[in-house]
Amino acid sequence: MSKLLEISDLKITFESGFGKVDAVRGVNLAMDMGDAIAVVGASGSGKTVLGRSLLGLVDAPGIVRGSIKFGGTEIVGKPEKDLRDIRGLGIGMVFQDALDGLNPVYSIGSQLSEIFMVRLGMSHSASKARAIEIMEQVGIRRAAERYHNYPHQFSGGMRQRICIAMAIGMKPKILIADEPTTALDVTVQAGILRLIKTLQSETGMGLIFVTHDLAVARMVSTRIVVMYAGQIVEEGPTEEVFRFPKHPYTKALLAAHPARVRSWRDLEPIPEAFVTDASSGGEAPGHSSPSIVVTN
Amino acid sequence: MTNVELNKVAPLLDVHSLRKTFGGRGGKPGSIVAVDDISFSLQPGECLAVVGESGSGKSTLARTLLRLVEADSGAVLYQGKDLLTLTHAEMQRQRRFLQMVFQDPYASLHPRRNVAQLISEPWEVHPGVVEKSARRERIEALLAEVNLPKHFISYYPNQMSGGQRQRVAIARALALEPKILILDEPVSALDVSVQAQVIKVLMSLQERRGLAYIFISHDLPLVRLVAHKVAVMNRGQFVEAGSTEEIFNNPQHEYTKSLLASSPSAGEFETH
Repeated sequence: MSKLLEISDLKITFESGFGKVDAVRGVNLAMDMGDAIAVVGASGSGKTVLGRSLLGLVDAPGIVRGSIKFGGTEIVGKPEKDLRDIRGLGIGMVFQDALDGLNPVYSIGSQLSEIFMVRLGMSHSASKARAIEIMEQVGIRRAAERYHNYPHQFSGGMRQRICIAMAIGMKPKILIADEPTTALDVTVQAGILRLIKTLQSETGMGLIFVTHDLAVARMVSTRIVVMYAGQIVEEGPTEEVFRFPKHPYTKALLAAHPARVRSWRDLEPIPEAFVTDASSGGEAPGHSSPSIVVTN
Repeated sequence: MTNVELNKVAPLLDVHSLRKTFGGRGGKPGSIVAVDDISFSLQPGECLAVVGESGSGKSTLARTLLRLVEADSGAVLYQGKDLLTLTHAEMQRQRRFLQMVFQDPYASLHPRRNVAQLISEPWEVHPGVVEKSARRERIEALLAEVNLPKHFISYYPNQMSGGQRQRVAIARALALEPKILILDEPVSALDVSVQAQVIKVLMSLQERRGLAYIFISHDLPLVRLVAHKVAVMNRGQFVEAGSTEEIFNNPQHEYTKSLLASSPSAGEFETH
């Protein structure tokens, strides 16, 4: 039987006036229902663009090559109108900045119920009921009242809950969460992470959680994929990666994490050669031809 | 340095019943209390962490200390002198001793100035601190202190990584030989993987120069590593304050307990 998601030799390249950037360089990954994979990497490692490619969201001048099969259907090269069936319904996505995902001039309720009317063909009253139900499911109190509120009337954490509601409302088989808590405070973060875990175990969907923080990855995942310079450098069951990291980059990430040491003196800064968010680029020792040039 | 030794020295900074409200008219106190009766003292070489969620008032507290916003009442004694009663000109002179490092080095560094210009900017405002002829040498020394190679002197912000930029911001804050650095979430805009180098630079600087730090953060694992004292801030007040060990091992206030419980890596993320 084919896997729910199967990525083979995925390559994503951006070409611009400044040259060519290989953002993803030959990634293989497979997952089934119920899997919780954390994709861990620093800025510029290619983790975000990898997530976006699963929904066909890599815009020009990005070029995607290789294969992404969702339930046996090839996503790479699929025309825009056919991707619509996969986006949201098959694979849902939650982004880092919750405000970007919401329209400031429409009420939360109308934005949520619109999805159910347009995408699932539900009636006006049924979609309103469903919207309130899903708001309650993601932990928004007095949902029937707050249905009429606008995005600015919600805190950052509550907005992210609404974005999660939008994504899971269509019961996707896979949820991609791209740094969904990076912009939030620790206390709020903990609530969102718990919510995502609960929803996953209730629905049995697959989860791809993109983050730069190993501690967060450990909380939500059963399997960790460490990305560096567009490639997967290490992959394994979460606890195993934490206990017996194999790749030097994973070891460096762990040694640099403040929660792993007793004193700041024991922190081991990640070697500059591993830092890829500089215009100078970077490359894992032992690999040839550094081709990553990421400017931001 | 132990706390006992620290306590022998007169406090460098002594803050009494500081209060700041917003929403008032005509200089009168308003109804939104951002800083509510805050008192603390800071010794040379000490790192006080102020932790709390967004909206708790931590950044307003920092800005009030430097008079970037004016307090409603209270006193901020720097070496015995109340900063809140100084004239603007006198305050300007004192400000070189209390410098600030901001959260986002992508926003705090002018994109069209190179490192040499960025670091020497404070000397335009305080011309007496470093002679013009000695400036280049001083910039190189400052870069060395934050672990950046000499050739960075001609770099522009977009040629540097986030961690490198933040180290330039730290070098700039040091240009005026301050006694106190206010660090407002200095590493939270950075990837976890590059936070370590910035933290190491900050902490070795503190040791070498005997600087006092006010370290504003919501990252508790990090606070545990760097702070001598922790003040937990909620709704404008310090709900709990004490030594780092006390706060982490024996938190008293419910709010502190909830903060500790929600930190993703407290407890379970240890190798020992």
